[in-house]
Amino acid sequence: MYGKSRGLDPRIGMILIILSVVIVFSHTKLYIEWIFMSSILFLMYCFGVRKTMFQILAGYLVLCVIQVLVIPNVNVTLASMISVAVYFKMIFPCGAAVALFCATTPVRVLLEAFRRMHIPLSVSVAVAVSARYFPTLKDELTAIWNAMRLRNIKGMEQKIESMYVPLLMSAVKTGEELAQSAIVRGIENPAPKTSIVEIRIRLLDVLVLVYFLLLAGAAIWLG
Amino acid sequence: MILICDVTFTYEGEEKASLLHCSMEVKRGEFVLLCGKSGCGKTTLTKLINGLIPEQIPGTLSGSVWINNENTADQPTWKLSETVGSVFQNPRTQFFNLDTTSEIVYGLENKGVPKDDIMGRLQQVVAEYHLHTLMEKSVFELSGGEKQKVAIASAYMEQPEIYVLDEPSANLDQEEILRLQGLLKQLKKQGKTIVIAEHRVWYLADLLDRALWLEEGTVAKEWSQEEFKALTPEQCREWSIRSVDPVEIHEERVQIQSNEGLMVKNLAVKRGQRILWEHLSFTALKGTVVAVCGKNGAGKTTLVQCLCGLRKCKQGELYLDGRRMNRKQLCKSSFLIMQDVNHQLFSDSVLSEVMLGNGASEKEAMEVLDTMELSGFLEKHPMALSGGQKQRLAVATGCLSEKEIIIFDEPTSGLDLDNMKRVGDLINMLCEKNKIAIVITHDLEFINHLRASVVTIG
Repeated sequence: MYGKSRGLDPRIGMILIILSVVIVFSHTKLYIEWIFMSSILFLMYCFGVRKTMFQILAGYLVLCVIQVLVIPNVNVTLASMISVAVYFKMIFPCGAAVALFCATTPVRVLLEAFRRMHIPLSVSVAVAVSARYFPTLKDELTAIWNAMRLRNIKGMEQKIESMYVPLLMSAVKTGEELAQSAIVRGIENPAPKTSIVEIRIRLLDVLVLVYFLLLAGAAIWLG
Repeated sequence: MILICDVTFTYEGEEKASLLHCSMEVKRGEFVLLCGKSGCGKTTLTKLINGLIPEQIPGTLSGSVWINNENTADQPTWKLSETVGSVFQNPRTQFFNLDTTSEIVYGLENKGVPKDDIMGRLQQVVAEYHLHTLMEKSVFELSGGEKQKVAIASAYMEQPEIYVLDEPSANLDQEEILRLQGLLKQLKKQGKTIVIAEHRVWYLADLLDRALWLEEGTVAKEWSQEEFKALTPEQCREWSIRSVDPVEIHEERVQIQSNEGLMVKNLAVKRGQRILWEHLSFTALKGTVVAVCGKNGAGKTTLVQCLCGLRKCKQGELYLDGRRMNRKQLCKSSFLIMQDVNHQLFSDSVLSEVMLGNGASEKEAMEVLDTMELSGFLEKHPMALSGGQKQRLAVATGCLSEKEIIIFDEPTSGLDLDNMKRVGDLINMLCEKNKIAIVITHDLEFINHLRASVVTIG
């Protein structure tokens, strides 16, 4: 019942992120990027990350429309202005791969993957605490933002300037407390850890990996 | 079981010792309450027992701590964690994992217990604690009480002999405190040793074997259960202890018809797809206090956001002095003292903080700071102030922006009796200035102290 894995093996997830970067920066044919995007989005859909998937899809479609339909049909000045959108679009494949990874990998599964990859504990704990900190960060940013609205702090510059003192304070505190929570739960215990979520490379993982490797190969070869 | 011998501990960068020649002993199966004023060393003592001091928290330590006849200085924290289960105060950072199932099994996984054994134990704990509805959830979806419950269940999974809890009720409503009481009762029955640092003590009176009162970092007074339960309100006041008896609201209903104030009419709010509450109507008159109560997760904070114009309501109207207010106007006329006041202090000195974002002159600023007893700290960095001073500074900034509605979000969580009264006086002072004070709280003792009218949501 509990602890069913709902995604790819975290190691495969990490490789996918790297491959997405390779594909994007190989400046390959547009249709390869499209195949890559739709494959990742398809995986997101299958693993139940649907809301994020539709958001990414919508954003990506808009930018594709600009690239394919708008830019070739307007005058040069305007085209060069909105070509920024094309660069912005480049982060979408990577973004999608990261979103897929984050949504399907619990922090401790990530830790377990790190352990199997023989990454030292001090590094992996630091990564895990930061990964755990980001969702908290969102709440804190909202709170600080709200506080600024009530204080009549206007202008982007002043807002950003006002932001970092409270943010830094809370980051230090949150980080410390999170680390303490992990430590009293025995994160440093040298015993080989077990996990109720099994991580192992299954057939699906292998298929996905091979598929995306081929795609990346094609991207470089055709690019 | 636990033996603390003449311990003196000073946090790094501080001059005053948090614990000073402190000694105490807890026997196997004992239930011990640590109480005392804010900053008396309760939390430090709990961290000494679970081993965070000295291994994780820097400072200078003398004396020794023995758990099960073993010196904690000789054991790493992870080893100690097999004997001592900890529940912390801050539910936001209590969890290392993002979903509840992961968090509950986390301790056993770290120990390397085989998967099937973990699953077996999990089933058992889920059934015992009635956690079915809470499993496989994001920890961000849980209410304060649910988080505390998961935290205790997580400690319980590992079946430690000793439980250390630091203010577990700080963010809980009445009903959830009773549930917490039930969980503790169960642990006590199983013969576990329990050390709990707490301000709100009424729910522990029937459970504890001994209560220790700390002052200036050392145990200054000790009561047995009978003695503790027999404490009169006068004695409680003397020791700055919150009510020993269960608290009920004594509401004084005063019906005044008036346009002067904030009128909330038929408000409804949605969070995600769920309607949190609807048909909420109440009036907050000028110069009075309204306390908003409700269960954990009922949407109290959401209500605050609506009242401040920070959030859109699904339906309903808000009137100030008979004028219909839109979100922007609400934003201009209301001010919020947040639960975590660190989020709303932006400047690098107290004086520049109160003058930020409003057109106040230095003279006006000084006057307000004077009434808040902050005029001695003009050049100090706001973040270097104590918790209470920060809260007063935030109130001062609200007063200077000439806001009419001042809202407090849980201003007394984790405060002792004296400090609770101090916040009460602060709010009464705002009332004298003809402000509208709205207090979001589930601290019934505090509501009684304020003599506030009560609005219950959810």
